[in-house]
Amino acid sequence: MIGAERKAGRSGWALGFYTALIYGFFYLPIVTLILFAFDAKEVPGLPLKDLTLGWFAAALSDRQLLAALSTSVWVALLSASLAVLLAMPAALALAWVRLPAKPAILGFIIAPMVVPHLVLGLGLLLLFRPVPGILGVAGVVIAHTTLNLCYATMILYSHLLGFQRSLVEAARDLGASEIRMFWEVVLPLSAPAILAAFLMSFTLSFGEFVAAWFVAGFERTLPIEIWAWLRHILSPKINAIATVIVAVSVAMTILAQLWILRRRNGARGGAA
Amino acid sequence: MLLRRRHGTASRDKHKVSPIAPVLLFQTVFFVAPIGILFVYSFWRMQDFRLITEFSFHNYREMANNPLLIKAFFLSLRVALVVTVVCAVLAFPIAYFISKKAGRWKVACLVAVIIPFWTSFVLRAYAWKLLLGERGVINTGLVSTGIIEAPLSYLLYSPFATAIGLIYGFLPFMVMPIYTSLEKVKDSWIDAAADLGASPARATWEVTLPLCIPGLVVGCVFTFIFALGEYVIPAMLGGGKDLLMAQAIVLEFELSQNWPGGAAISVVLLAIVFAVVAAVLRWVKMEEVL
Amino acid sequence: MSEGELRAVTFRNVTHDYDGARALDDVSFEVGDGEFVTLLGPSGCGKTTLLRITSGFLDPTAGDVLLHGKSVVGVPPFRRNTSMVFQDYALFPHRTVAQNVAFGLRMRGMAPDEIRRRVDRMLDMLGLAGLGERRIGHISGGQAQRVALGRSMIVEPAVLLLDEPLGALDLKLRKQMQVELKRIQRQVGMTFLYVTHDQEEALAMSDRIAVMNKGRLMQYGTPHEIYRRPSSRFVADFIGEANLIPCRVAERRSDALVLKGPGASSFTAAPSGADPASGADAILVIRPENLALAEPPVPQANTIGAVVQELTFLGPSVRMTALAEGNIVLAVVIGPGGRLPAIGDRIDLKWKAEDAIVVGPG
Repeated sequence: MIGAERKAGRSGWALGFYTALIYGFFYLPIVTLILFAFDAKEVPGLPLKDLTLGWFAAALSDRQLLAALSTSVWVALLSASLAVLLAMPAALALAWVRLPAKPAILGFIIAPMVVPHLVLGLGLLLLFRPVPGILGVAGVVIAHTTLNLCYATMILYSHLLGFQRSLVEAARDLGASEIRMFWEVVLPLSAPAILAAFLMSFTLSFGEFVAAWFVAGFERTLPIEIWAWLRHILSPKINAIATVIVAVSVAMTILAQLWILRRRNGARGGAA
Repeated sequence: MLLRRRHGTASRDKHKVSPIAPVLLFQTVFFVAPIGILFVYSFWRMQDFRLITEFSFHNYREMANNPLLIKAFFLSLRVALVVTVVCAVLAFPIAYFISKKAGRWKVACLVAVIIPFWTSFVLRAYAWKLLLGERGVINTGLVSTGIIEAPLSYLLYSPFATAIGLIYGFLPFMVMPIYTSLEKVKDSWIDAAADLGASPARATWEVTLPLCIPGLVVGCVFTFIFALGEYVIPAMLGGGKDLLMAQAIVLEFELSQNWPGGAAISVVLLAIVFAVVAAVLRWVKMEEVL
Repeated sequence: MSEGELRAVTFRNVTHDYDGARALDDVSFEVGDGEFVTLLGPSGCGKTTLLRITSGFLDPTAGDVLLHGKSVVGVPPFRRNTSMVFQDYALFPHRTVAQNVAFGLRMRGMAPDEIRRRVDRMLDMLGLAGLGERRIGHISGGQAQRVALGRSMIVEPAVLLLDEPLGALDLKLRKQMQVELKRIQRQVGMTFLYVTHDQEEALAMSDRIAVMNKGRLMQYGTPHEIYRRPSSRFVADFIGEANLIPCRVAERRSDALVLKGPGASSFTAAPSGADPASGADAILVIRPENLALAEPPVPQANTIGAVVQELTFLGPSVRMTALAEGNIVLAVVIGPGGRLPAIGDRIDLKWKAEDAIVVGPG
């Protein structure tokens, strides 16, 4: 018995060590990326020279980078909002209404998930050929909304499937019209899921490169800008802006996840 | 009375479908139509930088006769397959640790897996460039500690570098569905197996692993098709010698301006993706895992 | 019609098909104003379907539902003067106790001052005073049950619909809430339509019980009628415990029904007016508490010989099972002070003719 326990302890230790290694693998590149943003050397690499914040100052005063950053933020805001606005009613109907072709509709909505972004970008480029004006921010917003829609719909759909249906019926039964029921009950209780769908869409769009590359026209999102830089030079400025991006997306992820989990725990404590 | 009810049902049906209509419309115009156009283009051809809009199998014949494309095709499949298998092997213990051993650190561990996935691919590829390059962190480190004498040149710009980048990129996507499956495996089942005389390893093999198969399959499918279609990582880490399919598509479009040729390769890529998804959907229900 | 207006709810030939299966089959009965009526039956008998049809979440495929004489078929739930207490209470987790109770009044556009007054009064009546600001996650199961009740009662519905509201409570709390619910119902004089599969609960609380099975209304009557005069084998078996002895009707006399039982036994029972025809198969129903040991000399009529199989001590009484001729297992309750036979003894069991009920074999 003691022997068995000791054995379990040893294998548990091995599992823990292995897990630590993999997390090291996950974060080594990110840490490296960030590390060189603080190093004074012109070309990122070992050994480190001096600690500096100069590259941040340089990156954040670089007009090209800032323009790309603002384009990316706009694209992400618009495509995430559009995705959530389109996905919410669809998810409501899919989760709550008996529809004849539900699996087919669901499959249709999440199909873009499996299509390579490259292929979607090319297809959209060919689609927009007769209307070149769309290429640019509008084109990228469209491409990213298509990609975001499947994730947003899945998040909202699975949330609404688990939604306590009797709450909706109780509201209706107590005299709430459909619209009031939505505002008073469904929306407040879906806020975490909606936020999660929005944040996930935002982050996806913010970092997406390939599809945007094809339909951006003369506009440049941040990933496109960085891609263009990397073809010519390695500069710690890129590390600096990358550090900012990583910091923002880490904060967003943690915010979204923690809100969801806190809400879930709160609901679990409730009666019945 | 009957008439009234009939009328009611009809209007209710309209009511049912209308919330989905915008999404369906959007996806039709901006997802189905582009792919349809790509499909149509793949049967046209370029001649003297002019688009000939006549139906022909020209591009597909060209593809079959182009040894470089054939090589890219098989290399892509091989890389995607290796990446998938490596990811599956690497992911299972992690998912197991998070689900069964992490205790109160579970949430933190999960979020920590998700975070790298939410970081832009361009940045992640760049980070690996910094690590694997001839004057990169790994080579410098190994040389300065005296483990090797000269920097290893094959670390970057090789299928090896591409594979590392892809594994790094898609490992989180493998961990999540396996974790979701594992969450449905109750601890009491494993305890019961142990109680009946199974060693921990045996219990994992007999109880846990079979119950994870749906998650494993979904993780493998996504990793495989994502790795097959990925462009950024091979383009940045793979160098120009050994092309993958995605790179070949971009080359056709950007360099050769041969849009129909690129469209044809895209159609082949899509065909593989849809074939894999269709095959797997027969085995696993998506809803079980997502 | 004028008579119907006195009724809180009237069901007229209500039928409901769900995915091609008949969930409700031609159900008709009436619920009087201020009555506590229970829909009782095994799961899948259609009782919840009928409740949901009353509330408006479902429409009947055929037939009509009237509230105070007016048909409400096709009227959506939020325009119907009914109110439902859900099995899982369906309390809004993002609102406080008081906000939950106030919800229906707010939907009706009542002035905030008036709402506050009524909510306070309701919380007082339910013994929830002081809990108004609590969040739903921070109250006990019994309290949640009362909040759900208050939230539905405050809108003063024509009929309050309750869908197994005590199902989530433990046994002790459930017994307590049964008494409480009945008291509240009597106090406010509201019509309650209550769904349960628990026959004890139904007998304890109801003014009248509608026993349902496989979508059909089997019997509608007071608990006393349902228990003492079941109209079918199903009702006899479902409500309380019953010994069922298969018989054949030998003779229908004006003062008694003569039956041939297993072997050569012969019984008499009081006629009920709806007895099977002469020569037809029938089931003789006798409650365990109505069977008694027959001391010699054993009377000829209404006795049956059996062998004692098991004796179970229940505290105030002893439950005996005995195997009678024709492999019929009989349950007998022997009260305090009764003579106890031993296992394996041959005994004779007797009953009074007026305690025997004859139903059809179906």
